[in-house]
Amino acid sequence: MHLSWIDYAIVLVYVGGTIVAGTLARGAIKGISDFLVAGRGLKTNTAVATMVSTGLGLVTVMYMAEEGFTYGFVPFVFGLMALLTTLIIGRTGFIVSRLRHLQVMTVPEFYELKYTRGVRLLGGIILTLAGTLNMGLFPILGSKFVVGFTGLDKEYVNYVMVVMLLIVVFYTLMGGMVSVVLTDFAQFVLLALGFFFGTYIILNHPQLGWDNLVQAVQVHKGDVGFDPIANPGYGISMILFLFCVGLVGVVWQPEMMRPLSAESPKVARRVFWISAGTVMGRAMVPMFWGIATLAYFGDPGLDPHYAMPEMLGKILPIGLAGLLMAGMFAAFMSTHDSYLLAWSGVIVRDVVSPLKAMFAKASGQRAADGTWGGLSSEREIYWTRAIVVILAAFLALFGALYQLPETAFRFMYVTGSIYFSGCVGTVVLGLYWKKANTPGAYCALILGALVPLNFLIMTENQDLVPEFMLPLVENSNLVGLTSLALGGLAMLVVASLTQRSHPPRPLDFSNME
Amino acid sequence: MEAQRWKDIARFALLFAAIVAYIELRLMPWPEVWRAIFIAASILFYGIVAAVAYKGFGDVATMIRNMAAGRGASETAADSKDE
Repeated sequence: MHLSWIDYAIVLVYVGGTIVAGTLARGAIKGISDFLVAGRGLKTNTAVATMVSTGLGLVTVMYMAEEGFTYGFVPFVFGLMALLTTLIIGRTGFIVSRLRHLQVMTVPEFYELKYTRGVRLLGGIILTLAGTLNMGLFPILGSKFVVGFTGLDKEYVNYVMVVMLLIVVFYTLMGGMVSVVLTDFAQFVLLALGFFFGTYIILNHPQLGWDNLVQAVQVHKGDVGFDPIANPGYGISMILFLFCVGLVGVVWQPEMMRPLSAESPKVARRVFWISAGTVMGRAMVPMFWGIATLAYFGDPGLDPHYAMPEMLGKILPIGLAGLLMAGMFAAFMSTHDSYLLAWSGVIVRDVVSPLKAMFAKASGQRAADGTWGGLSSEREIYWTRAIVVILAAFLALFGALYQLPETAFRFMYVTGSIYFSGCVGTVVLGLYWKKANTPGAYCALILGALVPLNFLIMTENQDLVPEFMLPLVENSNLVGLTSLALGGLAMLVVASLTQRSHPPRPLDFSNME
Repeated sequence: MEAQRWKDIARFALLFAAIVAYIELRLMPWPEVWRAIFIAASILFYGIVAAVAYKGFGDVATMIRNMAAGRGASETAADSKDE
């Protein structure tokens, strides 16, 4: 064991505080909009804090560190692309302002406003599939961090995962988005402290420091460990993909919940403008830790998921190790709570509730409490809570059984593409192109999801793939770019051909802030 | 009018700084480029975290007070818009 009782005491105090906050927040939940979007009352600074916390989960730290360990300094380019795209969104309000103006709680809800209930149902199903697959690795990676950091035996990894999931599920069930916001704020501060001290110790460690890190990358990776264009794992295609995904990825439900919870479209835009300054650090600090792991152990064949936390556990002094552990625990919780809430919200509001409304032949009008004629507000909260528990059980199983085809980072991006490829056509064109219509939306959703799904299934069965399709199974960069292009093209072509038979529904943005 | 003039000057200065930074970075070897970017990223990250944590503390304290009083999140949001 690398840690002392002081370190464990710091972690316990933090976890106890989180549980108390979750219990307190239960009193603030009176309806589904309180539960899912905190009554749409978030102010700029709280929204920024909670958005940064969600974007910086323990899983993010793990897969960013893995990228640094595997590719050297090259993945820093991800931070640059994220900065560029977040600035563009913050400046223009691209997608964010218009969705907030329409007062939707989930992205598929927009499909019912712009297209039909059927598109919402399909969008909800695809988003659920992409979201739960994407989240599948979160708990196991978080647990690997704790096991590696504390020096526990690796056989405990599944037990640690279950305990951590139970804590998150408890306080998410209690207060929904309100407890997520409260705990995210504390996590935001703790995380930053953990980042600061971890990096400081690495920079001043006799075996590490910037120059030793550069030397380690040079020895183990060569020049391609520095040059993003020359690196075969990155190159122009990956950089372009990161840029496109950075812009479209804003429709990812856990990210979008913050702007949708903001008190106005103007605040939603400002949240992105301010948080743009944090996106580079969020990516580069863990990548830097990954490179430090390579320099510390000097063995590129190690599993970075265990090696990085093990290195931190060994080099951090008593007290700071506890602080970092609490920070990373916070990172684990801040992402899990938001994702669990986001996906269960989508399943209930965009799959279960529309199905009930369809069978009951309810009108497709939104009521004052934010429901659509399916489940009542109270039943939506009840089912959202139930699905949070079911999802957590699924995650525990998936994490224990699934083996990664590539790095965790690429798995996240490919599974995310299942959904946001379709969003190029349905959301981006739906918001900004007057001719976007229902048949175009169906085709965009289906075609956008096909390529990444094909990648995930066929990488397990490569012998069955014809030779001309091999690039779409071997190269995740190409998979991402192709699916984005297909999603957009499908809407453009099909909507243009079906304007007379399916006239598009107009949306009004004339009085938007 | 005066405010707009200062905004234009700030934009011009930012553009000039970006061009200088780009030329500087192009002339540096890769490890130096990444070092400069890493330092800039860290300063931005910790600066914004400190500012947001300081300013957001009051909002969070208000949220906790409202919760302790048993008020729903929507009611609180409606009140703050009326103010």
